[in-house]
Amino acid sequence: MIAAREPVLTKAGPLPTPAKVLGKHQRGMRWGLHSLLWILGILEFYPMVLAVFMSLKTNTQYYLHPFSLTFPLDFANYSQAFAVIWHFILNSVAVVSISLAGTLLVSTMAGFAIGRYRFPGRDVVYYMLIGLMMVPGVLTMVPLFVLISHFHMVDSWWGLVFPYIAGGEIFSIFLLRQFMMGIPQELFDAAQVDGATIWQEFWHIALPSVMPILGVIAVNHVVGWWNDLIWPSIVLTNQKWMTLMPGLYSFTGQNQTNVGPLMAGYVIGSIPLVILFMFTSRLFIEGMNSGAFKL
Amino acid sequence: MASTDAPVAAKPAKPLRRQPLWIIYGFVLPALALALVFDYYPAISGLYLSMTNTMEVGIQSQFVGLTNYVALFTSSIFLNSLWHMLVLAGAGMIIGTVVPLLVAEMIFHLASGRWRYVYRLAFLAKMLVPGMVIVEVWGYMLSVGGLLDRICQFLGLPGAQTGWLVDQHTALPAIIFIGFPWVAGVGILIYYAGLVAIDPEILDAAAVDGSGGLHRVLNVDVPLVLGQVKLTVILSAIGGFQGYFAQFLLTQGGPGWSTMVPGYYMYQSAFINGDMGLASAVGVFLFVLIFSITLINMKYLRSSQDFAGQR
Repeated sequence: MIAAREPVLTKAGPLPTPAKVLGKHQRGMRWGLHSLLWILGILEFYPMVLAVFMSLKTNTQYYLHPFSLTFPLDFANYSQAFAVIWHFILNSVAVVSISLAGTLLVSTMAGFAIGRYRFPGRDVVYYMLIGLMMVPGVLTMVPLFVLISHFHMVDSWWGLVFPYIAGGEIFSIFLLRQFMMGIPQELFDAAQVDGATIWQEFWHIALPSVMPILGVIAVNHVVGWWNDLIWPSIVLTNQKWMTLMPGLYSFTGQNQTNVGPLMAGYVIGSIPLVILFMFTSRLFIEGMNSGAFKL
Repeated sequence: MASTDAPVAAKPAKPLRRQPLWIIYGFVLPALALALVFDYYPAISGLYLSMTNTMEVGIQSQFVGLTNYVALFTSSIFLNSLWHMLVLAGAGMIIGTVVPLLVAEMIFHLASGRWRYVYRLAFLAKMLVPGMVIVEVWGYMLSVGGLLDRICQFLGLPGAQTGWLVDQHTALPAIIFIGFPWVAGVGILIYYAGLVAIDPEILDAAAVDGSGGLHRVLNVDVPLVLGQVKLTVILSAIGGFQGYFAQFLLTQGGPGWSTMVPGYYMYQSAFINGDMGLASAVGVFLFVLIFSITLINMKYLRSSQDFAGQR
């Protein structure tokens, strides 16, 4: 599905040139469009800018000028916030890594078997999995919590990891199956001539062939799990195990009147994904495009 | 989703050399087991839970039939929350359809491929920022003496006496206002892909006929991206019916239930009042609602696939 189409963001592809259509006023129109887009962009990003401004204020500065940049900048908020949230960040890194490894492993295996082999019940299994795309999270949240409680996974990372994998694998299998079907048969034939086992086919042919789509899947799961708030704040009540968003949420409760450190915490919490995005923007955008078909 | 894989399914995977079946099942088993335990079981047990009086987990509960549903639909708080949900979802559908279309049009009309890329990237990048951070900052901007009050003061308009989210009459509109100007998101990509896919000859013909600007957008472009319009309407509706993020972070359904929505009613019943049965009933109700919309969406899926291929 994704491989078959042109990259979404061609930098200078053979796009139609609508400027031609604009006729004589095109120059003025273009400047108008740029200004409008810049105004929208500034308004859109202002809350983030504001968070940075507020994170650099002492309480006095906040009460006098809450919504603008004030000098001197107060970086003490950052060390104060970091001292509290650094271990939430580590917890999030751990939970996201375990969930990601699990999701990629189980969905690649399932995608491989469903996409490359015929076996009794294959279509039933496939549509059972894909059908879950039509089940919204609101139906399962409460009963899932009851289940997690029975499994004694409350206040444990497993209460996040298993639901994350079970939720994340669905769309991943949907994409991976199609990519598996697209791998040229010759590669597998050649491997079989050399006497490869099914595991060797999986590790040495299938897995390397689907690496690009695994990147897309990974980046999008990471963004979703990193920013997840409500489910982890239900499952984790002990600060020791809290991931970043519920951690920031409890930090918010403790700092209602202490805006500087609070905003510093928000800024710190947003940075890891921004760094990730700098290196993987293409993967992220491709995933956003394909994700639009997921309900 | 069945129509999506139709072109691929035309050439089914050739069976490789015969493998023992148990190995192949072994490849599918982990994914299937996880789906059965953590997706299917909760979905089905939710139906059952909604007909029990389960309070705290682990305490003996009884089958009570439709009592929870009766309680739900005789509760004025819940019935009012349905109205709030419709208002929020309706606003979300309009915003989620119109704003990205207009912005995608603006980006599409730029001659420079580089700038088109930069704008799309920039608006998409906001999706990385945790929603919690954005909503919390908006909470400060909407508070009494907050940024919005200052702007109102500057323009000589009356501000909020107690804070926009604390006044019963302004709280719901204020929740809609969060995220203004609502540009960032995947909608821009959806519409942009649709606009790029329009045959340039159609646009040339429109230009020859003297159709430009807003006139062209409405009469030429919109009919050609109707599939995208349907998709964003459906996606916004589904998101609007189950969302309760701002309620969770800022209003807790208040003041005076004025921002209560079914999703938050469910959360509150389950995790604050400890009534798992009643909460599950809300979950089942929302599922039925969203599933019906999904089925309507299936009807339109073929047309929304037209832009999946980016032709």
